[in-house]
Amino acid sequence: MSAFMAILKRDILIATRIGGGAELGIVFFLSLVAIVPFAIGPDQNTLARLAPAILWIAALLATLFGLDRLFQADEEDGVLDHLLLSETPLEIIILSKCLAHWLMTGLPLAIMAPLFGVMLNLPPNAMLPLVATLLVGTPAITLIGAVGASVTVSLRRGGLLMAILVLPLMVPTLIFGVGAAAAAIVGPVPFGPPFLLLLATTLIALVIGPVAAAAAIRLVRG
Amino acid sequence: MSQQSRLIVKDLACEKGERLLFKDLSFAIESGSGLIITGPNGVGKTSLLRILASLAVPTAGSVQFETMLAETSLREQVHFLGSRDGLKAALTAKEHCLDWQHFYRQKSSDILEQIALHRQADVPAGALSSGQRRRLAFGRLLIAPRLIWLLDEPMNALDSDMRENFMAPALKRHIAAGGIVIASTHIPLGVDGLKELAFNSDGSFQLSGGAPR
Repeated sequence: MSAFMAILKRDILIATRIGGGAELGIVFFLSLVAIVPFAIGPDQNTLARLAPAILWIAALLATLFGLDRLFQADEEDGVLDHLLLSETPLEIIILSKCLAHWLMTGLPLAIMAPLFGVMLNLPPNAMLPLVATLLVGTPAITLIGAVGASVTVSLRRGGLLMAILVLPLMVPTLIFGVGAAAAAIVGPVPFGPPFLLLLATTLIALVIGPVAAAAAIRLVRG
Repeated sequence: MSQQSRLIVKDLACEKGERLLFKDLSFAIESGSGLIITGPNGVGKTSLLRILASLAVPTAGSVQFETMLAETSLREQVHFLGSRDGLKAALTAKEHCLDWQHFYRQKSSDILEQIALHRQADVPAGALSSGQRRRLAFGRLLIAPRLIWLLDEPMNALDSDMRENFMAPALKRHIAAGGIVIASTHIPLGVDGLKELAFNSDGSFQLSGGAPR
């Protein structure tokens, strides 16, 4: 088994063991979605129109939640030292940790999203586009967040700082994600173009994220 | 590991904050030998070990690794065992061993017997005593063979029986097999023929020993 698979397996095992992974992210997602109608009011048309945006912001925050621990936990117990002293490039190790994080947060969120969409009167024909945008968009949130997590790796309470650092970088993902999901409901833009741009931002994050995060860890730890 | 390899330290200096910990430190360690680093707290023993492991950058000087081993680098040939033991509280002893075997691409071998933790195989690391954690952390060094062991206080938390009958023989075996052991310690390691680097509280140091084995 390669180091990539070993880290993936370890991180998923730890996430299922200690909790705070998939379940907590989904509960957080649910509570955000549940609280918004209280602020906006019960008007069904308004809710339906805003539903993609609300679900996307909730997914963004739920994915960001806990992302600051991505490297910090390994730093605190000394595992990061061992990861740095390995044949496997740090970029590959980070990619593996990001994949584990996405499998435990982003993926369950995307799958559960239609259920929470019902609470916001999301039209049935928008369910599939919403899931598609979340499936394609949430990996970018994890990958961009990893850069922030690596910058704040040695800070005790770096969670908020990390969010401030990375949220501006997630604007393109949010714009195209909501754009594509909303296109299915309100139009007049077709679903295709914003969805492809969303895919493009994720691919860019896939290339730049691990490299930037590895550079940041080497810089911070050097 | 039988080929001759050397770790050469030249004119090393280390600053922490504004304070100079040590400077002009030079020595060389060949495979099949060891060095113990002694001195009061805060003189830079751990900092030196981290520099040797390439986990920290020295203020001045260099660490070179000469080896006959093909296609390797210092990073791939050191094990660093620090005060943070690299264990995940949620994973059991057995899961740690499996994880290291996968990560270091080693064949499965039962080292839980060797580190005397076979009866605690299914206990999460968070529930182990500090001596047991220390032994489990040491298991990583036994699973993945690497030339250089950098140990920060390896005897800490071990009882005298474990020091004499577990840690000391393991260190002797590693040196006898052509490995290098560099350890900071307050407690005698029980291994003969090691060089000693003794730091004083003012940052000066003496290098001594290395009686031929």
